[in-house]
Amino acid sequence: MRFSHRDLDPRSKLAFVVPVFLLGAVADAIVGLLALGGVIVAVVVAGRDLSLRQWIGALSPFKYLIPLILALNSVFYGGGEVLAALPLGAVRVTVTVGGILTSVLIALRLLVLASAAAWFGLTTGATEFERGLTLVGVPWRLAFIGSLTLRLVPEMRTRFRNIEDAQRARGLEVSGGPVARARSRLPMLVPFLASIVQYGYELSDALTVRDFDREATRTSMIELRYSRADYLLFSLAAVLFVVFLAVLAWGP
Amino acid sequence: MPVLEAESLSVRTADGTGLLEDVDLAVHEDETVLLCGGPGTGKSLLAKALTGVLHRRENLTVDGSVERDGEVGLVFQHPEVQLVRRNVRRDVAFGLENRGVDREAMRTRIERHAARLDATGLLDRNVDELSRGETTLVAILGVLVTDPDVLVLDEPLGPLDGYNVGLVLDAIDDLRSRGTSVVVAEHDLRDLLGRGDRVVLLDDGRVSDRGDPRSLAPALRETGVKLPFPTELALERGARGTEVPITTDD
Amino acid sequence: MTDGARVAAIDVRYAYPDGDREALAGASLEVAAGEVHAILGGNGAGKTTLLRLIAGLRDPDGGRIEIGEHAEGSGTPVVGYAPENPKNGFFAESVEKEVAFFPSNRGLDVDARVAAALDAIGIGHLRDRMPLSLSGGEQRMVSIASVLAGDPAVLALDEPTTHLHRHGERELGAVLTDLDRTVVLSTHDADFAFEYADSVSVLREGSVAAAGDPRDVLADLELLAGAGIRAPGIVEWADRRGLDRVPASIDAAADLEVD
Repeated sequence: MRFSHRDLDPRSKLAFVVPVFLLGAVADAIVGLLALGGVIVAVVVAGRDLSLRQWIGALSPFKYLIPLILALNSVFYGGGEVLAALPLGAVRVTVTVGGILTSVLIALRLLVLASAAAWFGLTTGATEFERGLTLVGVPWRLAFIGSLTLRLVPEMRTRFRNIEDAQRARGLEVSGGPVARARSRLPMLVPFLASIVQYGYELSDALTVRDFDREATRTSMIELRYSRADYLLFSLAAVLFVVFLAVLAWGP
Repeated sequence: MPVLEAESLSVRTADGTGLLEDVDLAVHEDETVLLCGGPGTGKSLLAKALTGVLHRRENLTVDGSVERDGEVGLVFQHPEVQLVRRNVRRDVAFGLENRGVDREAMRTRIERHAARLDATGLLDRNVDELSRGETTLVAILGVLVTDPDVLVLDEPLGPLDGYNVGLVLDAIDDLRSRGTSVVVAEHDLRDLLGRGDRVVLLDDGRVSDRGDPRSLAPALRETGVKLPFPTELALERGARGTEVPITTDD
Repeated sequence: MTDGARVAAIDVRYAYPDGDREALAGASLEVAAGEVHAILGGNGAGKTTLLRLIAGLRDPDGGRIEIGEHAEGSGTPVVGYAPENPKNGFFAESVEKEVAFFPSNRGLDVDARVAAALDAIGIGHLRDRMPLSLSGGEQRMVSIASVLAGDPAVLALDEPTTHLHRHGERELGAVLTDLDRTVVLSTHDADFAFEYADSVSVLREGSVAAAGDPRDVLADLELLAGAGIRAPGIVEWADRRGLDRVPASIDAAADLEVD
């Protein structure tokens, strides 16, 4: 019986993501990062309501970034056997084995961190996240503002689109060369900022009216309870954390 | 004893421009008051001032007093902003959470109020998927569960089509049947004129007239408020006072 | 100076990329040059989407839009689009500069176009005011003027009557009927369409359920109820009184012997 990602307590998910990030930051061996990546894939596959396709789909913004990182860093870092060289004036730009390996390491690191974050983001509701944060000690107001910000992103995107429509309809060019794009900034920015400010006022009034400012103790509609899967995840997180300490102590 | 009373209420901007001047308004129990006036006359602002929301704004100065002998709830002109959680049930619970109501009581209250508004089907939906009328309904629900004595609605009908206006009117009727006082700032009175006990007319930030809907109909027509067709027709023919119908059924 | 152009939508379909259903499922309409046409529909019926397609802001997934005598895309007459929220376009510190935007982008004679537009809409007195500081009705007029100034053959207005009081509506109606352009506007306000539109179409769940003369189409109570639209007050009144013809206006109704 596979567990449900979305039913996992956000605290256990957070507990897992933290050592992943720590390890991802200090790991210096490609093998180590691949192993870490493997652990994340295993967690994703072991659960039932997140498909690999959805998860990889969330990482699609990286499909342009990763090749770029690989290409650039292969040139910026050097070491070991030279595979190709290109003289540019007084400088000799080289692609070396060491450079390639380092760039792969950098790219992998980014992927590991991003994939863990994607897993968390795809399977955790804003309200659960808010509740989880409050339970681990984050002041409720802060946690709430965090979850509210998540709600705002799609709203702001819609508003941006609507403004873009209004301006394009009057001849604004949103594509084209750098000069055209610079000129298009003002007619986009001004209404957008005005819209955000207006929203801010309205939101502030709305929160006041809904008793956001009350000093009394808060209760919560959301109940968070640990399940067996959460305890397993906590154990896994603990193991990763120990590995992290080991790496710190004895090197990667 | 009014549940809500404003005395000499004035609102000015930072540079001294008067938006509301010397407004006196009392709302009693089980009463429906209509705040009307042309564009820019301050009815929206008055609606907000009655709930005390304006006191936190740094760019506005509020003078005079608003006495509240009970809880006052507000439904905004753009109710989507008022919905702070993704899931409807959880959003409706927000006000109750802030008041420290325990979980079981929250659940019961939400189910009970939703049933009365025929909105139980909305509770498990996402706030982003709702129609405009449903959004207004959920905003009303979110305020209702806190059991206010007065509900203030700021121009709720504008962007709503016929069907959605019906949803909101049903909610208002339900409130009125329960004895909750309702204050509505609106310029479309086609359905509200007959539901009002009193009308307060604003002009340039001041109260220019007040009284029962029938006697105020001519003045309302002057200011550009939308009236029921039979009302307009009667006024066009020169009818006055008790001869003037205030609903489409009269 | 351009005259109005004919507008036609032929069986257009459109689904938003992040939407789960089709916003338009085969909608067709025909607007003669110079007409004021109202697209009526309830919230979510697809009015804004149809206007966006007509304005060329999106391409239909199926079917096509024709503006003027050519199919969309081949040296077409320009369609000006004014959004539902006038503030979405406002970026300038004066109405004059705001209205100058479109003609400037099109390389037209800015001063002449601005003066003509402000005059046609009747807001010359707002020339130096800041758009964001104006009332809702005034903002609406500025938005329309800023579109008109670009000299489009067609004006596509998204819910222009929202938040307008009666006086504002009358002004808008008068301005639109006097314009020599084609005006296509979306609304759920059947009273406005009844009084000012030359032709209407009723949009329901992504396709056009009926089209034609407002006097006929908007007298069909069942049609309107099915589309979630409130019938014009005069139509409801005529129905209650059992009249077999709806009076053309409130004045005509007042002249009748009926109460």
